[in-house]
Amino acid sequence: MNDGTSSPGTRVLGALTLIGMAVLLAFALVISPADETQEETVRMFYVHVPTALVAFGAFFLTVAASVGYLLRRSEGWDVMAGASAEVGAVLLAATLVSGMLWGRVTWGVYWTWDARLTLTALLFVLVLGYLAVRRLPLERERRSRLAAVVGLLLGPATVACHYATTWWRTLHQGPTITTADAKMDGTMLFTFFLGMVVFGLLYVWLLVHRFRVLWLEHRVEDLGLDEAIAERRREAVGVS
Amino acid sequence: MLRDAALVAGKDLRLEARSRVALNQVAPFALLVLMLFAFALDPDRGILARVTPGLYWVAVLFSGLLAVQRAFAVESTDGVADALRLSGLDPAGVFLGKVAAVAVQLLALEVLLGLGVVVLYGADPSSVALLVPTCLAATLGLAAAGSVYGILAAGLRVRETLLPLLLLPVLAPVLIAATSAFESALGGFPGEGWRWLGLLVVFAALYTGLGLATFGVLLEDG
Amino acid sequence: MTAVLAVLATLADAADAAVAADAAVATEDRGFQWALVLACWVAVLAAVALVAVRSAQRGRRLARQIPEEQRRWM
Repeated sequence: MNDGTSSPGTRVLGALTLIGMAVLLAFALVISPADETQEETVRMFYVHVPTALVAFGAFFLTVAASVGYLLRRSEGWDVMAGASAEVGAVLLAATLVSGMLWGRVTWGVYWTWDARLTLTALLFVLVLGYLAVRRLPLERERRSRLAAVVGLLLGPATVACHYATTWWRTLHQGPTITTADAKMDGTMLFTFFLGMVVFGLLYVWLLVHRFRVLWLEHRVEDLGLDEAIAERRREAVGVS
Repeated sequence: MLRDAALVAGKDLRLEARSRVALNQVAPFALLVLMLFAFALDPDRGILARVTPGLYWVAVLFSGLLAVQRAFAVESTDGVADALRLSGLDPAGVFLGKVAAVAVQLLALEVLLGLGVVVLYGADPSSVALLVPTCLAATLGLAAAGSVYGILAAGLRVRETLLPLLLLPVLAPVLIAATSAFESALGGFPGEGWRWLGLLVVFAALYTGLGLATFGVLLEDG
Repeated sequence: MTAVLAVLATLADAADAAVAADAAVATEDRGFQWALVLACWVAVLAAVALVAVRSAQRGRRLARQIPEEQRRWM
């Protein structure tokens, strides 16, 4: 049983996520109708909006965990911040890809330089920088400290990115759900909320696994350099 | 705290006045960037006049990056960092001192680049009322964010590559806002620029605050 | 930003024109919409699956090196 980062809890969570994803796919691609104005492209929203919101949530958790680390200096907060940022980066990449494809259909171009897109791209680069700091070959305590400060500084960017459509009038659509429920038909609204739940579950599932992987990485670091070198060698053989 | 800040800023500026690295290397680099833009953009077609604000701030950003790198490279050699910690100076004061020293150098650079833009690109600097506060706010923002990330990357072996990766995305809003403010100032409709100036002030205040709060953590053992 | 845009626009006139022409033909086409919708879902799910699988592999490799009593959470 103990051969990886899964536990009974994560197996249940994983099963729920996979089932939910299958149901979401059915709703998003088959059951829900095409939108009057968006036509079929509305089906991209069921991945675009949930991944974006969950990614923002993930970065807020990174910021909160960074503050937690700076106050408490405990390993758990540090690992939590890193794991959340990793999963958030994947989800934000998904947001960018789905957004670009959606833009290609609706605006005719993959990319326009409006405030939200620009800020999202910047946020993505900032998170890559954060993850780069976490990979620095430093003594752990110092690395965690630097990472926590960089993680804390993700905060303003995330907030600006989240509220970009409210603060600036841009090409990008504002928050559809809160402003214009009436426009969305019941099935579409349900599909959207299902998307939020499923991608939320996916996030938690991946977060727990990444947390454990990072925690194991720290334990392996503790084992000493010799073992680490041997492991690297084995890994290199495994890849090639 | 302010006395500590003055001490640190005085030390850095004295160091700069004696070594003349900024004068002999960073300033020529900035002018070189301006000339390279002109070569790349075919100055005859009027593009240069249209994109002057953007080019100006990109040039400030890149040469500012060099200045920041330089300001913190001097802290990471010869055990200066340890001496700074042992000195018992208030970390917030050290931060403000670094910001002040970097800001003074940046302002000097901006004046030089401004002259370059007026002479080489034919820009018209008549709406001083907007241009000067924009420069001041943008410089404070650049110096504050630059100091936070500068001390963070100082002493790392990968600092030359890590610092731009961390700092440039953070500074992108400054680039956007300062460019937009300059565009409206140089274009003769300064009214719209004030909103962007507001954004610059918010940015500067935000990063000064964050720097004051986190500098103690960053100064802990090197 | 507009300044940067202007630079890009001038440098890439030809590319822009090509994209615009392409888009004019394609916007009305439902088949094209479906293709991009499916591409979007496949790309996102594949990326997440790849990350998950690689993470699991790495976790398994790391877990082997750690004594049992240090991973009680499993």
